[in-house]
Amino acid sequence: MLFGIWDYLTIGLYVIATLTIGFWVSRRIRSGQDFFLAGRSLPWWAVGTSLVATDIGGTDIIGVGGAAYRYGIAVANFEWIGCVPAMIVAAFVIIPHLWRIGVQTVPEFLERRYNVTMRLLAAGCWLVFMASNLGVMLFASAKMLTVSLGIQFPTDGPWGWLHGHELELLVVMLGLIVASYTLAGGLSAVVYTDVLQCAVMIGGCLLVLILAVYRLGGWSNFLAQIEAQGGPGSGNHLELILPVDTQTPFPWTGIFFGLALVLSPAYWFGNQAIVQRALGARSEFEAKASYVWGALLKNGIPFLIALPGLAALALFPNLPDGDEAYPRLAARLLPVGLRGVFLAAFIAALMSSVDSYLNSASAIAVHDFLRRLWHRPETPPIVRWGRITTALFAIWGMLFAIWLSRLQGPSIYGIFQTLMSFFQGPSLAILLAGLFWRRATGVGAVAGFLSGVATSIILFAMNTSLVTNATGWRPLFQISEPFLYYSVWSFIIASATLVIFSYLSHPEPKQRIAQMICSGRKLP
Amino acid sequence: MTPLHIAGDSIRNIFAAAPLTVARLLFVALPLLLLVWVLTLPDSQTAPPGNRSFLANLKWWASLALLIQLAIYVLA
Repeated sequence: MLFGIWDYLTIGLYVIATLTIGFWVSRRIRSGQDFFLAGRSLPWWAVGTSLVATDIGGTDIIGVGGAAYRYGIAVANFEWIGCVPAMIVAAFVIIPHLWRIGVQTVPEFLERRYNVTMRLLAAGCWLVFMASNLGVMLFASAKMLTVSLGIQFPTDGPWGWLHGHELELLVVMLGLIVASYTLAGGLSAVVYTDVLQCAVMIGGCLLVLILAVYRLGGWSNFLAQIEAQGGPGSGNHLELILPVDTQTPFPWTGIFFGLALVLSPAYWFGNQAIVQRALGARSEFEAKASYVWGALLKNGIPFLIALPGLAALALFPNLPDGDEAYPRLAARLLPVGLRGVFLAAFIAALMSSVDSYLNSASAIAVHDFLRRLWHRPETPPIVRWGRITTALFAIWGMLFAIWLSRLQGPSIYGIFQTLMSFFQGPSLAILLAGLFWRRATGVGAVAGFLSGVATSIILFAMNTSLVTNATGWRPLFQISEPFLYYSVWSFIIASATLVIFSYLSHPEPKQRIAQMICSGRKLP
Repeated sequence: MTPLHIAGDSIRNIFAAAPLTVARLLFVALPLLLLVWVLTLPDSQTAPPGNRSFLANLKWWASLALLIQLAIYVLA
């Protein structure tokens, strides 16, 4: 994709606007609560927009477009039934309760409800998840920028020495920009820059969609041409609900039981990077409103990131790699001068996710480890430690991304994402039992969590070629990416183990857990 | 083959035998049930304290989000 001076100006303007907003709001940072919860002053519209921006990463724009190109509109389930129902339940049940009891992190809730072991286990898993994800997001996005969008330095001239190191340079540049405003302004900077980033992301993707529909002769022609392309199975690319024996990774059983009932609630109820911004809302009502606003926005997201993939199918039906669909479409439809809008949208999507994970990883490191294990009477200087840990996580993310770029062989970040999904089902089981079942005990929670993670690992292992070749067994699951099924079974086993071990152990003291149980009533 | 394979195959066969209409009903039932639940929530849980205006009541906005879901999965 070729870029002109106006494209670079657009991207430059976007980066300057982001940094200006980030540093402007950092003037108000005085305390740890200001840094990690924005002083509990955030308005609903900013939090809700930030929820959506955080959820859509740079890799999602191209990855979802690519999946739509290969498998059809079924990928939109991840934004529709895979988000909206859980967000509505969270809005009226989970988030207001967590906001009322005044916790700063989800692991803090787990200690107050269960015990310190459960807190450290959950915090450790989330920290590994977030730290790995930082590197994965930076690497995957920089790779897409260099390969799919064709960003390369010439071999000669003053910048010739950078030829071949574009990916590393992009990782460092993006990492430094995001880290600078995140460590200056904490959650406030993250949320308010997310609002700008979400607007840029929606604007850029909407522009591509409108031009694509226009190029294909209007909405009716657009749909007719998609239908004429057939589909991955017996149907076509416009089928939202796919049969159990589909050749895609999205059979309805996995989408409904794995995504809608387990992974999505685990994400919207218990992912620190998501929940943290709602805990920073200025009132309990605004925390609820932020999730409702996010759910409304979510309904429109597949039109922006999945439909362009389908448009690419009509225009370029034989691409070797589906992930080329969105960049190819942008290159074909957008003239030089407007391509910067799409590139800014992509970078905005990346930055809105990386800044959130940086801030939340820092929150867990400081709040759940440093402060919790700090055995001296004085409180450590939270803001300073928040900034130090943010910087350390940014450096780690950049180094990890560069390390990933040097690896050869299978998709290492795909493997990481599967590994990271192992603890989502058990986390949800522990959180729900802690919120709604008084008899759940700390012993039961720890046993349930560990057994759930072990279940995921065993199921994963039984699907690897290492085990199937050694034993002669066929893979346990018959779809290519069965992580949706891991989450269902790990949730079931974690729940069952939690119940058994809770009945085998002494109940938690009523006074200690009284405020932690979610009854829907206001606290005294 | 292990007992897990046998159990997995049995579960898979049960779901594979179910017509896709059953799946469609489940996808419609989830937002529909949530819609009914949201509409029955008391205003004290969905509206800001001291403001009883229609637009400020989250119940209606949440219902709108769920109605869009219903429309998507009914038409799918």
